Amino acid sequence: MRLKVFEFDVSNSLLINTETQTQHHLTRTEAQVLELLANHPNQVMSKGQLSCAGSQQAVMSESAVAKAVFTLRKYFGEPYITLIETLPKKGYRLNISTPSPEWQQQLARRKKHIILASSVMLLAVMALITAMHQYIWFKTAESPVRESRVVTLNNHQQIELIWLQSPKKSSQQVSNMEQKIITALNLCPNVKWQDVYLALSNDMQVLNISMEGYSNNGELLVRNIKTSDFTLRPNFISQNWLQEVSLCD
Amino acid sequence: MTKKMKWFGAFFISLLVCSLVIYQHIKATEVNIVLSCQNELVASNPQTQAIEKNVMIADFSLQKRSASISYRYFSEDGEPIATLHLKGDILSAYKEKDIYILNLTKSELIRHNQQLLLPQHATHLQSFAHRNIVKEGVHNLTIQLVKTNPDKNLALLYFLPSTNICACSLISMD
Repeated sequence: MRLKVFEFDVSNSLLINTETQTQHHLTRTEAQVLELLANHPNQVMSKGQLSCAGSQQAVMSESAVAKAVFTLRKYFGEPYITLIETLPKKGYRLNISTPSPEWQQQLARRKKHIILASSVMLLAVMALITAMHQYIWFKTAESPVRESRVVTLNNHQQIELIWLQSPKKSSQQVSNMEQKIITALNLCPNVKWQDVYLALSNDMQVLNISMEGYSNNGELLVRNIKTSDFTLRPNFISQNWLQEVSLCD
Repeated sequence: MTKKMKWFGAFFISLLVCSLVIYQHIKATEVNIVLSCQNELVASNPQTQAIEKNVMIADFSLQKRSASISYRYFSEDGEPIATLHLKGDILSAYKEKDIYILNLTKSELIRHNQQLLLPQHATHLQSFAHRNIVKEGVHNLTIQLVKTNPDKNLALLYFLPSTNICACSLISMD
């Protein structure tokens, strides 16, 4: 059987290059695939059809067909690599004659469509990833500090009271809490705290007090107090509380 | 330049941009932060009005993309009461803004001493996290580092949605 410069000896499963006189002994699978392609020149044969090798049922797997085609192309060599043409999602075709100009045009159009579709998909993926990153790249972080004010204690020491974003209590309640803290600090002979951070939990049942300051020898001091009150009208700072939780150090 | 070359160039540049974006995303969400925060828990007993005091040490470990928080509860004299472990992963890490969004999917409360009463904070936190995990499959927690002082190893944390705060010692941060 003549396939361009190749002679295919079906009975001996031999593929001979008549130009170079090299010959390759084909495996059973390779021979079956090439025979079927050669019997249907210029026709598209699906992997399924090739795997049946002319019989009713598949005699090899589709991956075996792909492997056979790969090996056959290797035997054909670079100048005749297109002798077996791959048609994506359709199968293979033994390319004996030159494809018609219509066919070439159709192929070029299809290639163009594939490139266009891939580019659109790529752009869409890029847009999606960029959208995911908009919060990292473009949105600035909002400071959770709601308000802060400097308070001068009776001993002329200054501390900064800083409220962080939390559910808004009435200004009267906030003022009461602040006043109780200031009164407690005023009772201290020496206050080590410089910054007092305050925040109410979302459910308004925990009052957080974080204090920062320095000891006499310059060592950083930190204190976190979480006061829970799960009653309907929480009263976080009572006289009892102030006695139990000394804010002086 | 041929048409084919132009297409190839455009494809290559797009691929490069995409790879850079993906790389940036992966790197941005990888963090290494270890924090430890000591808290005094104060609660007034609703019946007796007596003040109950406990100590809670919260350890936060954000490593690569996984997150683990341990709340260790102690009595006032240092007796271990219980530990609440929360584990999950980091959903987003906005390093420039010091905001970390955690997806916590596992919670476990280990009692160390059944004789000692569980602090109200532990009961409240455990039931809240457990309810979220059972109902939604996840307990979300956002941590914002409001202020950091690397020289003094200090960080002030702000938690959402609970709107709690905590000054913590910064053990490691990359």
